[in-house]
Amino acid sequence: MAKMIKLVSGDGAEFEVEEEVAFQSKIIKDIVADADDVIPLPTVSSKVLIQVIEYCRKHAAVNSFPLSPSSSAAAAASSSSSISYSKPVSDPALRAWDNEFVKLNNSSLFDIVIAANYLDIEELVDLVLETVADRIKGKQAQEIRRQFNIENDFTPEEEEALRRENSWAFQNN
Amino acid sequence: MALNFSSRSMLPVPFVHSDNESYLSVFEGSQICVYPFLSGWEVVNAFDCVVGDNQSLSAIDDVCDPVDLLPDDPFGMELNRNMGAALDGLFKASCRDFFGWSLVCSPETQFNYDARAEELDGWPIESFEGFSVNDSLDEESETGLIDGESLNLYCEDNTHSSGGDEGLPHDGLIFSLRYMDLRDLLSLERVCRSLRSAVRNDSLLWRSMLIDSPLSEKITDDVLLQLTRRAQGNLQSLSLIGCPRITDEGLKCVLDNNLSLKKALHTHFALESLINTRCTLFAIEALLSLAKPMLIPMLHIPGCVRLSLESIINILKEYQSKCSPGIEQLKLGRLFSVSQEQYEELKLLLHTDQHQQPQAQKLRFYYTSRSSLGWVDDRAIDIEMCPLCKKYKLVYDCPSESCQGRGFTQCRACDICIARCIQCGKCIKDCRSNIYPKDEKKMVEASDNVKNTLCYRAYDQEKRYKLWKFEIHLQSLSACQLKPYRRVYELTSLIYLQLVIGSSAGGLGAIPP
Repeated sequence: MAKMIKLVSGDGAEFEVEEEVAFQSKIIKDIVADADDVIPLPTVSSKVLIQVIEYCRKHAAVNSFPLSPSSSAAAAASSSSSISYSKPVSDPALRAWDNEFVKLNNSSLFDIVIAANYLDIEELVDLVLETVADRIKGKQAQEIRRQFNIENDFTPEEEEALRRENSWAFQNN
Repeated sequence: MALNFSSRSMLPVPFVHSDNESYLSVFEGSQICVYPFLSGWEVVNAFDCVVGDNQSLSAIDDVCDPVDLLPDDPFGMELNRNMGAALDGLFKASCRDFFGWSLVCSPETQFNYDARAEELDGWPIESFEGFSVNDSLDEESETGLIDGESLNLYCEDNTHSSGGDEGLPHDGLIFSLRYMDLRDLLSLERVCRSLRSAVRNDSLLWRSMLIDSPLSEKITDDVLLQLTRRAQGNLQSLSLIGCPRITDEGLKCVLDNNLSLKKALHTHFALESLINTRCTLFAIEALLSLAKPMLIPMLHIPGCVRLSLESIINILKEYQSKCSPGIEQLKLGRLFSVSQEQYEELKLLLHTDQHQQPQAQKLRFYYTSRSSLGWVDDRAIDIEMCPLCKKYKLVYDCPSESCQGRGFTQCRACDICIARCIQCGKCIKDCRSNIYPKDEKKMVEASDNVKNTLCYRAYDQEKRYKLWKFEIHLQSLSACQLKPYRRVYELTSLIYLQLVIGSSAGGLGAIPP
């Protein structure tokens, strides 16, 4: 029977997961090596932990199978792009699952990324941040404020100064 | 800077090609070669407008999915704001945990967009301004609907948010900064104070600067200096792809700024790439003289049309004699024509004899060279002798299984001898057989990679785009400056011509723009 690890969320809920699922998180992997199998995670809420576990479960299942030659070629190809921070997910089905997974609102995504960063799950951090980055790409400041619900705390003078400074990038002439 | 030629001509007339007439007639006769953006010529400014504004150009980058080209809000309904406001009234009123709802109602994802549009089908958008679920909600919904911007759209933000108060950017947003390109960073800078300081003060964000279109056409020396200063001396990679407004002095300033700081720290400054079509000899010399105490392991100059190979060799000789081990890698790209003597001399200068030649060289595929920054290998010099034309060029291998099956040396040549698809790097003849067979059904079965169906079209469009872009750069030069580049222009035109003739010979009919 697979070894189970118990994760306890910030609000006291307990989640039992298989070892290989929990080990997607490097932090948990290190802790389990030293100590016992009950790991309290006070900064992670239940809701976020459920989502993180779901991600880990899916990726643990996939990672246990070796890459096929075609998918490894695809991985090599896609890693030649100019911005890539982690190994790209090579399996198209998994990529599609990931894309569905991140169809959440901004605040949920941010909570997940904070948790994933705390738990050191590199792929999840990159996945979420790339999604957030895509939502920001190409947008003007006002749109970004609206989307992420950020207050404009500049004085009018500051705002004007900024606008002038960066006008070279946004002019279309 | 307006282009001064007739909007009806297919090619800029002032650049008189010796075979101008026949050149044009090939184009006109075949009806294939129409630049997809020719109709916009008369309103185009040399650098900025066309790249940024023209819809067709973005089509080239997003060849795969025409849906992405559709505008988000064609009728100006501002669906995001109004719907969000209306729904928030709903949420606030019912005060339930909307965990399930959050998946459906977030305005920024396309998936949710459709779901909501479906739900609200039949309700005129204007009525949302006064929307209320029932009478008891009137108070909240009224305040909720006044200004969609300041509303907190999702209930759970108030209970679960770990990012601090409403109105401040979430910590997670700060994490995402490193995934942003330059333009987005500049947009984010203007959002609020904390983001401004996060963008400006994090030197790690500015360690590697890549300036590509559309910003490359707009950036000036001052701006470049200001931005590179943000690296606080940690600038490790500077890539300027086609920046016509950057002058040698500006570049020198940037290098001065960062090298002097680096000197103090006794660290290793590796100028990984410097790609600038206007980069002159002076700049390279300045760069090398400034960097004398430092090690420059790689010199990468694929786009520098103003440099001649002789001058490069002379500079290298001087630099290598003064620094040891000096430059170890030289990337020339495609614009230089190299004779055998020059090639041998370069190899000697780069100490290739002393290096241990790895037995199995990494395979080079055409598509990876598109963004030359992405290509990393151990070779001292990137060009080699093409087995077919015996000239010194960039030589590519073929990733197609059939070619590899016949041995690695089979489908190996420069991209002029063997045309390749920019999407997958396979030789075009291989792709073509999968694209236009007579039987539609066979097309899907025949290709082992569905992307092949786009290969030829993408290749064609990309080549046209590159040729066009190159012409735009040439436009900015005066007639006497133009002369040395005619050869380069001829070379790129030849590639295009080969493509067009090849396609019409193959009986493919009109290639859709």
